[in-house]
Amino acid sequence: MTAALEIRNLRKHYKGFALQDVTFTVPAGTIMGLVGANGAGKTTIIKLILNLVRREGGDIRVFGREILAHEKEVKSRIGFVHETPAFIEDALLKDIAAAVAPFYPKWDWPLFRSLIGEFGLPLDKKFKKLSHGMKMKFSLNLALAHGADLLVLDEPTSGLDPVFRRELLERLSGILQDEGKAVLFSTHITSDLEKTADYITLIHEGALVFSLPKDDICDSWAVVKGGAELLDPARRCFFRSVRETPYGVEALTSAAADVRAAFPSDVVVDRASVEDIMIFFEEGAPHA
Amino acid sequence: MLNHMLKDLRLNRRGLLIFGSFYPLYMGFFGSRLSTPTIAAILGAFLYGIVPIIIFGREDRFKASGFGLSLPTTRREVIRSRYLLSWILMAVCYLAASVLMVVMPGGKLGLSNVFAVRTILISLTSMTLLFSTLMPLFVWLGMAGLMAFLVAIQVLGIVFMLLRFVVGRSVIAVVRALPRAITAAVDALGPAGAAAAVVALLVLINVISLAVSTRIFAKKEF
Amino acid sequence: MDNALDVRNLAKDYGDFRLRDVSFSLPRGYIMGLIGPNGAGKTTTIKLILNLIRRDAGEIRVFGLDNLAREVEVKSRIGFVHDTPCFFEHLTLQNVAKTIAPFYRDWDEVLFRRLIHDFGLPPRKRFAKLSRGMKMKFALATALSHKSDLLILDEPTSGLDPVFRRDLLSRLLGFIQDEGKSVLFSTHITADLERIADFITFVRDGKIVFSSPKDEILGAWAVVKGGPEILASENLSLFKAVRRREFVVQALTADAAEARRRLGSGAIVEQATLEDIMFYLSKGNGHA
Repeated sequence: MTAALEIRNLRKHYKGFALQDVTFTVPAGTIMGLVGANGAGKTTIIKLILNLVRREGGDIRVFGREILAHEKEVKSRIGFVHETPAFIEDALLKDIAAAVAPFYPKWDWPLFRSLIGEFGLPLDKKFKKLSHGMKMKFSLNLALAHGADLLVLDEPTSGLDPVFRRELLERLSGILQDEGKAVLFSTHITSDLEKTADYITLIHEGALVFSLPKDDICDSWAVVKGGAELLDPARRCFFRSVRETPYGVEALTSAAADVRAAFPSDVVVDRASVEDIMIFFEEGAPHA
Repeated sequence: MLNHMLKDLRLNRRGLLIFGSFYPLYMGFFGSRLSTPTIAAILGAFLYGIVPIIIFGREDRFKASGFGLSLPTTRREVIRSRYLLSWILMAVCYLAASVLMVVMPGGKLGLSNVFAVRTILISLTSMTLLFSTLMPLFVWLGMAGLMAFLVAIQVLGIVFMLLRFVVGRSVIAVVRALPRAITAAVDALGPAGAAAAVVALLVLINVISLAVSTRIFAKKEF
Repeated sequence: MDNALDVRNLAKDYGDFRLRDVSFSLPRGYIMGLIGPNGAGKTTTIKLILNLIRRDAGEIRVFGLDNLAREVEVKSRIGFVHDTPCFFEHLTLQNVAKTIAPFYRDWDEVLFRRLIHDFGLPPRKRFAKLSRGMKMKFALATALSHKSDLLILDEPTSGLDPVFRRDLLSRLLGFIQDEGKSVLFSTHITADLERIADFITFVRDGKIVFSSPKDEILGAWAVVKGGPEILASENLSLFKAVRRREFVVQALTADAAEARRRLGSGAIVEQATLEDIMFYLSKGNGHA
């Protein structure tokens, strides 16, 4: 089946930052979480998918169609939610919906209205009168009501309480009951990801660290804690990153099984959470 | 394109109502107090020419442009529909103001004055010159940048006025050149001929402006 | 040993929202997390403690001192970090510090400079140019620099990436190493709380649901999963909230031990996370 989203060798640079040859794929029927520190490049990647900024190199395909060559077609299948939803402030919600609907051939008014009911959104109110959470819900409502096959969400859960976050994630999982659809969302709240995502893609300083099924990450990546034996140059090839702490030495590996085999048993090998991995990349001393 | 125009209309109802009614009313009244239509034609053009930019500027102000561009559309479509909508808005304002100028009680201008070929051509030319220059600048610099630019122009205007004492030439002469040119054209080519020539020229200016705006807009990042 | 914070029967009426009978205490030397859905009353409670808004009824004592009667003294001992730190945008960091220092009797310039340095904040940079995470750190540095004994933070980690968050949290832990010091912070990111909080206070609809040591909560609250039979009438009193999905029942109980005893192998009883508790109390149908 065609992948929902294929990104190949994506390149873009700003002053002091560059996206380098980013390549990953979101298969249809899956949810992918995009993580990375602030400024790592997540929002840039998302903006490039929507052609809000111009790419300098590489290829982006949505359900097999290149986004620049088939811009209208591609965008009619994408539902986008911005990190800070912004519309014309004093427009009424119902006006915004009426203005947006004609652009989408698959716009579904009954679905829109039922979601409005579920989310509890006041159609006759001005956009500026909504709380942040409501704005997010409305934005999501628009994205869902036109039958989007690929949802691209930039930090959709930021600033939202855990209850709503969980609801949102459940809803996203529900959408994927239809195997033709897919979701890509960036977030800082890695615990949300670990519950919902099928794939996790980590970006660090503009480069892809990995894009893997969540289960693979759980199985292969680990935090290794021990003493000076971890610093042994002969065995450093096991580790992506090593750092010394007041209590000993900690290292990050992407080959947990090999490490368990190679090291004596007084070294602790713990499953690494996405957050652990991110922190190692930010702080640990990397070495090839 | 229709979708875009309807969208901009729907979302900016309030702004349109305020500016779209105030300016024509103002010009309708002000213009009717004058004894020649030329000043009203030029001044009015300035007001109507700004209306579309104010409207589109709201999206800029609220940082909503990103969403508009995430809709199934191309940048070309967006900018084209903006130009078309702008002209429709300017034409409506102009027509409304002109009618008001004629029917306003105590008005000194008559139908033949306000709707004379010469007057219409002066208005269209002024609107074109203003809009065609401002729109690409607006696309490039956004609302804030445009404001800064306009302030700079004001400063330049003051400088010119001061220069007058040095150079001995009035700034008004520059502005007067426009109606003078139109009058000369009407005299030389007759009203129909002048209309055709001027309109052709204006269309060309608009097309160039659209091309420039499209190029700028296509490269812009949101 | 007196408490850092004592809140008794606090009440505030806003018409469509009311804070009622809010009572909790934070012993010295501990960290308390304040959680609750948007609009529950967390920010209102914090504002009442700081006397940014007037209380209608009740008592607030900070280190035994009434926060109204001894306002200046109380405020000089509290360090507050707002969720959107706003200082004087156009001033450089060192000038901001110079401006606020005179208000505090115990401003420690040396400590401030050291913190700024440790946090990686350039003193000559304008406040407006900092990223959100940096602004947060700066606000924390100023709060720490006037020898505050109670730190109050409103959503300090919202919008920050996991790396920053972990850093911020470990600094809070460092802060309470001095046993006289305490921290109260509100957040939506329950994972952060589970990491560092000693006490958790859950606010909902203007009332306190519970205010207890974290370990007690995690030990006592549980999610019970089973078939419809677990809802037999003699068991209903066990459950605070119930969620039915076709043939699966998920229920929240505040008495895990009792649930295990009564239901035995007829149901799965899992430790509830804070998020589970919030979620079920909001979404489930309440009982008891």
